[in-house]
Amino acid sequence: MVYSVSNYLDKLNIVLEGEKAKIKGEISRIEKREKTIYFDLKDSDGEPAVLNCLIFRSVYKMMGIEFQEGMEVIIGGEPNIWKPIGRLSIKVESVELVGEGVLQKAYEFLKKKLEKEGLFAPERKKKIPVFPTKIGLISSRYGEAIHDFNANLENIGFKIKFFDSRVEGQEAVPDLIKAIDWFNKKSDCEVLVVIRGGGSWESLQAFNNEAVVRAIAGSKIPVLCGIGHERDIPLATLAADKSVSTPTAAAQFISHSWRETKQYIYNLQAKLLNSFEELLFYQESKLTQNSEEIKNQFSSIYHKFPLLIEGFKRIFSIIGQTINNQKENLAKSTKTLKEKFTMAIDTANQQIKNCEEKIKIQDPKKQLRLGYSLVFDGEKIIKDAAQLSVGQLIKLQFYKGSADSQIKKIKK
Amino acid sequence: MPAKKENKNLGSSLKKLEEIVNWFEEQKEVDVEDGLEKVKQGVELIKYCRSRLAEVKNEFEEVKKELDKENIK
Repeated sequence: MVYSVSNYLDKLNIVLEGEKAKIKGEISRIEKREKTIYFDLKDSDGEPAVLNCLIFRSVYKMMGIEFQEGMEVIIGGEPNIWKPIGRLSIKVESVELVGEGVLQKAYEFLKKKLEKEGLFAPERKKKIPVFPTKIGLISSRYGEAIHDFNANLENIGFKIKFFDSRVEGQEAVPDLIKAIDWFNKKSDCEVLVVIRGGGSWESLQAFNNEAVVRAIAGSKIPVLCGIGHERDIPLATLAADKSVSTPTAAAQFISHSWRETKQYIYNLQAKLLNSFEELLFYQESKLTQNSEEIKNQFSSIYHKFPLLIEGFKRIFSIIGQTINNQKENLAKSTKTLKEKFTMAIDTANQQIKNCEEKIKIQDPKKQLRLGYSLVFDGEKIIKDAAQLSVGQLIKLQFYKGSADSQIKKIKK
Repeated sequence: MPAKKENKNLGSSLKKLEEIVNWFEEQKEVDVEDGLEKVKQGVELIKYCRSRLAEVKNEFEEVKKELDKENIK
């Protein structure tokens, strides 16, 4: 079978399409164009060997690595022959730095830079909502992480939207960014959970990638990171709104408000019922106390009642007696009064009689009857001869009748 | 979003429940009628909260990536 050049190159390209590979080499001959950067990758020692490479600007930017001549990297990509010039080149999809020292340096540099920008500052972190139900989960469908997460999530009807993403090496970068972007644009999730089990420093490079870190920091939906790590904290973890160290811990964190609330509700219920029970008990004891008091008072009344009646009786009898006494007194005193009065009258009568007697004795008529006479000068009784003069007319009063006479001689 | 409203209700129900429990703790002498009213309210809130916390199987759904094949620009 004979091909045309074009047909043959097409056939080769179909074969090459599946030949994705990771290749380590040294960057040289960098040529930056508007949308694409071309460079050569060559072995630093051994026989001369060169691969033509190209990387789209968008991917280059995402990788967060500034190409320099002589820089040692591992590229990931797919070969393809560009037909017009028949050149095989690798379309680069990922770039990783090689060598612990270089990685460490890049990590420190980026960390400082983002720190300075305030990307990790606590005040810019969003709060993971309490009682979240809609969760956006970002992880690899092949990893253990997702299993750990689901196994440790409380069953309270969480609605989990899972976005499958690579989580190893730099290839994970575009996936992670896409996932975060998708959830922010297309979902109503309340929290994004980015998880991955522990791994080597190199394998975690995507989580130290500037673009990924910025995507996490820029997410409108709060991000919870559960990325296992051994030494330096991945920068994604620092940028997340909340970070825990494992996928299991992430599930527990999401569940904790729910789980704690279950217990909390139980406690509140116990408290509430206790309070009410106490209240009832208190009221009951108060009631008992009151009724006891009432009973006591009543019984004291019962007890005192006969005494009271006795008392009343006594008082009444005293009153009765007093009234009788008074009556008697009154009667007595009336009698006495009468007696006294009569006596007084008798005495008075007697005295009057005595007076009469005396008066009777003293009556001049009585003397006259005995033979005595009275001598008047007109109305005046003559008691002394000196009152008289010779020739004076006088009147003699006898017991019976009277006589006028004239004085002849006076003897003194 | 109904879910958000529900969440808010769970949160606010909890708050109300806390207030009732605190009310009991703060009162020196509680009127039985008032207490009973509060307990009734509390029990309703507990019922609601429990129903929200009841065990319901989580739903797990993988996102279909309509953009998967597209190149990132």
